[in-house]
Amino acid sequence: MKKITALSALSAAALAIPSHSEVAPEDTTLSYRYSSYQEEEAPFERTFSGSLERYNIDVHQVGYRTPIADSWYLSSELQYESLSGASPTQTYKNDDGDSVLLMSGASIEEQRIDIKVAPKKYFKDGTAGGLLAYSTENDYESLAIGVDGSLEIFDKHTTLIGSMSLSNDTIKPTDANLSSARQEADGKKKSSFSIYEGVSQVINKYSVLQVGIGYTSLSGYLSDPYKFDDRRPGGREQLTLSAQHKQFMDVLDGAAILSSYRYYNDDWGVASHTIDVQWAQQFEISNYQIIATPLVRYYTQTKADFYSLKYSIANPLPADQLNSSDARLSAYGAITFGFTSEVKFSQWSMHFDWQQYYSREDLALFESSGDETPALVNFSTFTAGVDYKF
Amino acid sequence: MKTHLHQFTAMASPCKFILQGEESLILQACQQAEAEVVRIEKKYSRYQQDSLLQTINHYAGKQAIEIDAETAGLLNYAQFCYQESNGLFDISSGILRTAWDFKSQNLPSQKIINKLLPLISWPSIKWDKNSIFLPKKGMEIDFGGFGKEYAADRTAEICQQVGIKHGLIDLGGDIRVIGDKEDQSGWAIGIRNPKDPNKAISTIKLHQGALATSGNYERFMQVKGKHYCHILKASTGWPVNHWASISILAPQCLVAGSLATLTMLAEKQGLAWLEEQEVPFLAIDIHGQQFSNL
Repeated sequence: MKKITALSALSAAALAIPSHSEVAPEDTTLSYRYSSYQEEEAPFERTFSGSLERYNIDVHQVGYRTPIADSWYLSSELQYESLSGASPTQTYKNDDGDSVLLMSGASIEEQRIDIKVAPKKYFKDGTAGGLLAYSTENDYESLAIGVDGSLEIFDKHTTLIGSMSLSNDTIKPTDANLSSARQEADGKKKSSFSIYEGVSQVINKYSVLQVGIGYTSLSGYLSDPYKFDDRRPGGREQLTLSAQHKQFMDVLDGAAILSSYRYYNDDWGVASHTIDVQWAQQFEISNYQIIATPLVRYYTQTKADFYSLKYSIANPLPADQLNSSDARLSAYGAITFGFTSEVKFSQWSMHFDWQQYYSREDLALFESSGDETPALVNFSTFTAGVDYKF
Repeated sequence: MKTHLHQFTAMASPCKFILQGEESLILQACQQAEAEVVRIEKKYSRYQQDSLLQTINHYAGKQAIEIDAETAGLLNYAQFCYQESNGLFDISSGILRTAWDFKSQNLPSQKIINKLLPLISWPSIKWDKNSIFLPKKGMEIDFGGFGKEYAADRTAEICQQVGIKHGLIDLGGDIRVIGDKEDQSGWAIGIRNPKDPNKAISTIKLHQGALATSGNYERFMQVKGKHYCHILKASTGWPVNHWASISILAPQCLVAGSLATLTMLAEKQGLAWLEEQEVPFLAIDIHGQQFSNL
C-alpha cells in the first residue's frame, strides 16, 4: 500500500475546502423604476353607460438596499402611483343573452403611496428577515408585517423556505353618500394571514427545483363597495400549491429556462392553474452584460359560486344574498406575453420590461359558459429603470 | 485568439492574469476573478479591522466566533499543515511579526520572543466546523502562510467556470495554470535566483497545475553578516536558515505553496521529506547548491 504522503494529505484537505456560501450582499444599491400600466378601453358595443376609458396607472418607485451591520442587510422601497380612469360597476345579461357592462362615470383620479422596509440577517446556513409595509390612498389604508426565513441543509443542496405575514386594511370609500354599499363599507376592516412553506432542491449543477404550499385566510369586508349588488362572504380561505424549475444551459453566453406551475383553490369556488415559461438568455458584448428574458404565461380559473349576471336593478336581490358580477370572479383564461431585459455595465444596471396581457372568457379551460364577460380587460405594462451599486 | 494581460495589486502583491480566448469571456473572467481575489483578501486580511480574521483575533480570550464552511475548510487545511510539519507550521505564529521588524536591521531580543511564544499554540485553539475560539487574549491566527495560494486556486476555478480554457493566474509569484497555452507550448515561468531575485535562475514550461516558491529573499535582514528571513519556526520564534528557495509543482497552488514552506521549515531534513512527496521541485540552499528532480 502506498504511504500517505504530505502531498496526498494536503491535496485532500485542499479539495475539501468548500466554496463560500450565501453571504450578505456588501453593495449599497439605489434603484429607480418607472412603470406605465394601461388598460384597453371597455368594448363600446357592450357598454351601456359610463366612461369607456379604463385604468391608466403611472408608478414611480425608488429602492434603497444597504448593509447596515454585521451580516444585516436592509431593503427599503418607496412607491408613488397615480391612477386615472373608470372601472366596471356591474355586468348583467340582457334578454337577448348578451352581457351589458355598466362603467363608472366620471374619471377617477387617485394617488397611492407605498412604503416597505425589510431587514434581513444572514447566518451561516440561512437567513431570517422581516417586513413592514404601509400603503395609503384616499379610500384605502393597509398595514402589513411579515417574517421569513431560509435554512440550507444537506451541504447546501436543499433549502427550506418559510414565510408568514399579517395585514390589516381599512376601507373608506370616496363619496360614501353616493350609495348604501359605500356607506356600509366606510370604516370597515379587512385582514389577512398568510403562510408559505417551500423546499428548494439542487438536482444537479444545472438544475434547481422548488415546490411550495401556501395558505391565506382573509376576513372582514371583502366586497367591492363601488360595484352594484356586490356582496361577498366575510371570509376567504385560499390554498396554493406551486412548483418552479430552473434549468441552466450552455447556450451562447449562458441561458436558463424557468418554468413554473401554480394551482390555486379557495372556498369561494375559484380554482386556477397558472403555467409560466421564461427563457433567460445572457449575452456578453464588450464590457456589457445583457440578460434578455422573453416570457409566456397562461392562466385559467373557474368562477366563484356567487358570481352571477342577473339583472337586479329592476328586481332587487334579497339583501342577504351573496352576489357579484366582478369579472375577476368569472370563469376566464388569460395569456401574457412579455419581455424583460437587463443591461449591466460597471456599477450600472438598466432595465426595460414589457408585458401584454389578454383575458377572455373563451380562453378558460374549465367551466367555460356561453356568457360574455365584457369587463375582462386587456392591458399592457412598460417599465424602465436603473440601478446603481456603490 | 487574443492573449490578454490583466494586472492589478491585491494582497500586497502584484497580481496578473494572462488569459487567451474570446474577448467577452476574458473580460467577464477578469472581473469575476479579480472580485474573488478581493473577496478573499477582505475576508481574511490581517490588516482590515472588519475582516472575519480580525474579528476572530479581536475576540481572543473572550468568545467563540461563528465561521462559515470555507473558513472551517481552511482551518482543517491548517491542521494538516501543522501535523505534516510536526508543529513547525502554525497559523498562530503570525504574532511573531510584532517582534521581527525586517526593515529595522535590528534583531529582536530573546526576552520579547519568549513573551510571544506562549501565545503560539495551534493545538490549544478550539474549533469545529461552526466556530473558533482562541483561548488566550493576545493570540492571533492568520492565513498569510497560504492565503495567496488559496486565492490563486479559487481564481483559476472561476476562470474555468466562465469558460476560459487557456490561461494563467499569478498572484505575487504564486502561479496556477487554468489551462495550457493555446498552442500547447506551455507557459514559460522563470524561477528567481535567490541571490539576485530580479533574474531567473531557471525557466520551466508549465502545461498544467501550479507552481509556488518559498524564498528567503522575500523579506529579510542581514545582521552581522548573517541572513535572517521572514520564515520563522513556531517552536523557537527564529528564522530558518538552510534553504534559499524551494519551488514546487503540484496540481493545486495551495498544496505547492505549503509543501514549499514546509520544506523551508524542515531545513536540512526537508530534502529527504520532499523527495518522498514525489512532486517536481527545485531546491536551492543558502550556498547556492541546487537540488532538483525537474
